[in-house]
Amino acid sequence: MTTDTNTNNTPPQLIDIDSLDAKALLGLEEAGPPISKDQPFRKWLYDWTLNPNIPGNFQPVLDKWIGVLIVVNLFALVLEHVPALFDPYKQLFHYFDIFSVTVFVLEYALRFYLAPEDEEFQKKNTPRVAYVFSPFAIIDFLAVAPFFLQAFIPIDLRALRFLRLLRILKLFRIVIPAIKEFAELNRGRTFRQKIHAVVFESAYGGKLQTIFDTFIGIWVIISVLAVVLESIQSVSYLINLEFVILDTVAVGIFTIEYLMRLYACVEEPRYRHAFLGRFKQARNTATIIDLLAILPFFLEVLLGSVLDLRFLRTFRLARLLKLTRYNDSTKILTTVIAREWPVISASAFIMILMVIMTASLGYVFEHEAQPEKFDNIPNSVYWAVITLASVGYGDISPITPVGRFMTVVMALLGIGIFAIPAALLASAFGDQLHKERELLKTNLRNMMKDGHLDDSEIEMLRTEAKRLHITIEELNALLEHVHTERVNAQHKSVLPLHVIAERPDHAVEHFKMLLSQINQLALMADGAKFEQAAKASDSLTAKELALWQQLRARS
Amino acid sequence: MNSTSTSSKVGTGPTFSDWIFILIVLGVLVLVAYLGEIAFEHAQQTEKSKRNGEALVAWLGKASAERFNPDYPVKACAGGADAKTSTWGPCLEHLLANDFKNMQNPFKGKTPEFIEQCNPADKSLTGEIVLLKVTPTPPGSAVPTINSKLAAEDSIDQKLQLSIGICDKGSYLVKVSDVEF
Repeated sequence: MTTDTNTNNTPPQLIDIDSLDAKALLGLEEAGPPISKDQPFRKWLYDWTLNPNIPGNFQPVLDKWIGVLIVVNLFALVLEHVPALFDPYKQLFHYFDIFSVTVFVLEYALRFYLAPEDEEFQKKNTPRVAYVFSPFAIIDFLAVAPFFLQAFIPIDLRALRFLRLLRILKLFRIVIPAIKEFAELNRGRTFRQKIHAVVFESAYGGKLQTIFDTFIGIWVIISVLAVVLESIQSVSYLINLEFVILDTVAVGIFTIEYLMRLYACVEEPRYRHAFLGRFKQARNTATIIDLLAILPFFLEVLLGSVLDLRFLRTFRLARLLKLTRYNDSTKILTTVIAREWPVISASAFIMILMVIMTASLGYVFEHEAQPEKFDNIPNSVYWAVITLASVGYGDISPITPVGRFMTVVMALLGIGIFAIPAALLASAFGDQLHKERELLKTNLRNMMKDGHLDDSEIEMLRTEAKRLHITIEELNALLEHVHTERVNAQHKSVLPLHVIAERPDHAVEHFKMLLSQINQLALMADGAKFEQAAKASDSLTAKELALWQQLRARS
Repeated sequence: MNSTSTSSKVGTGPTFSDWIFILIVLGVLVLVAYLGEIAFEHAQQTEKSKRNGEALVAWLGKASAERFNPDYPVKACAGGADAKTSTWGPCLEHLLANDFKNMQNPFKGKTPEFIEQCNPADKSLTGEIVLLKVTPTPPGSAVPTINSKLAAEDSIDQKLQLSIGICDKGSYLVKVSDVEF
């Protein structure tokens, strides 16, 4: 949203607080995109499906799903080269290919039909011919052409499969506009600032930053899936080489991302210093996770012949934690744990105390009866934890009457003590959300001081509402509440007029104050525009206007 | 307009530190590619070991159907003969001298050894073939089968259930298949 407002040179949008509405603020107006029904069908269809300048139409959705289909096609193409996977599912691959080609052909036909409505081609003599020879249309054609060639011309199928790689070029339709927008947003900025805009969230990132985040997210999911599938012997036996290639590519991508973050972090106000800033960034939890995601690869290949580091492969699953960077709830949870750490650590201390005590008593009462199970206190700790945590596997259990009585007492105590951290975290999480909502309310109050909300304030409201999971009803209630507070505060600041009028000295002072305010207004307002507006709307009588002109002349 | 764009180009081109960053990124990419190549080579060697195991499985499976025929040509591996003379040792010798004379452990470049188990602590076992005799246990036992090494003196006059695997680069077992011989 910020990027849209930055790219268009439109004047900043101001929403008056009296016309505030949560749906309008969140961009969820029921009215839908501003597309008139009273226009030719072709124009109407273009506005709904392909016009990139109409917010709320299906153009971004269409772009997104075409993008997803292209990526899935790419993976299908790679998997087709694994005979063990391709042979049993040959038919499925074929159907998917037909489905993809159908979608791509429909897309091509739609763009061809709507070319006369496209700004890029409508000025040409023959817009559709101009479209056919445009670079994107040629790419679109090349993406589907091999399929039809295969159907009509008997040539080497393997070469045709390779040609299907051209489908990835269709992604340019999404990436190139994003690059152009990025270049526009970052005109005159340094190389490092541009890197920063790509990897860190900022007003300069635009769609390219979203694409970058999506790209990293997709690779995280792919590489984690690969780690999980690798553990299935029958799968890893068949495509072990492919897993190795995939892991190398994933590590390459994550390593570049890691270096980019370390290099550009100094553009963040918190990490300004060239060395200390980067050191602070490297110590950041998210960056440590980034390092953990790539480290096993380097260690295993470099030291694998000296040490048995196969267990490190499991740590590749830490890549999943990279996704927490994009999840605000995790940040809230981290804040909660940090905030409640003294209480959590105190309850952990009591838990440890109880475990040791239970294990010791278990040993004392049960050792003689079951020396093989309660052979020493450290071995009894396992039984103590399983009992106190109410898990109760039953593989070890007390048999003496005293031991059983002690277990009953300790288990009852354990239910309470072991539940403390969970209850504590749950209530602290709710409390933190409440606090952040209160903070949003305070911010909203401050924003409304000037009587309106500007673009950046609306954007901040949208982001916070999304982050704090505030529904439209809640936001409306919040806006209403803050608005009422503001009105009440204004009323409280002066006495009611009838009270002022009762005291002549107060009335004089009040009159002086009003005059002073009018003088200030006369000084600050544009006289010509004021008079024009007053005359246009007939909101002032001739006498009132004359009085205004008189006061203005005096001031 | 031109001057603006020119000046912005001059002002925003990569600085010395930017070039260092670019060089580091390129260096790391080369390192990742190099390490990836090493990992790929290791994986390929493991694949070759798996092919060794698969070839053995294929031969044993094929022989299983024929070796009890009186006119089976590979006498050393024939079944149904005298239990004392018909043992695995001569059969294996015959195999390594004929059908598998070119079989090589890709990690060592020599004929693979037939071992009982892989051991990650012993890297000298990489690429070797694990050949186990699978013996069913009596009904009601805790485990359905017992695996033991197919020793040279083990009789092969009866049908045998075998389990074949190989040791990968880290000397971890990669099971190839179970086969009846």
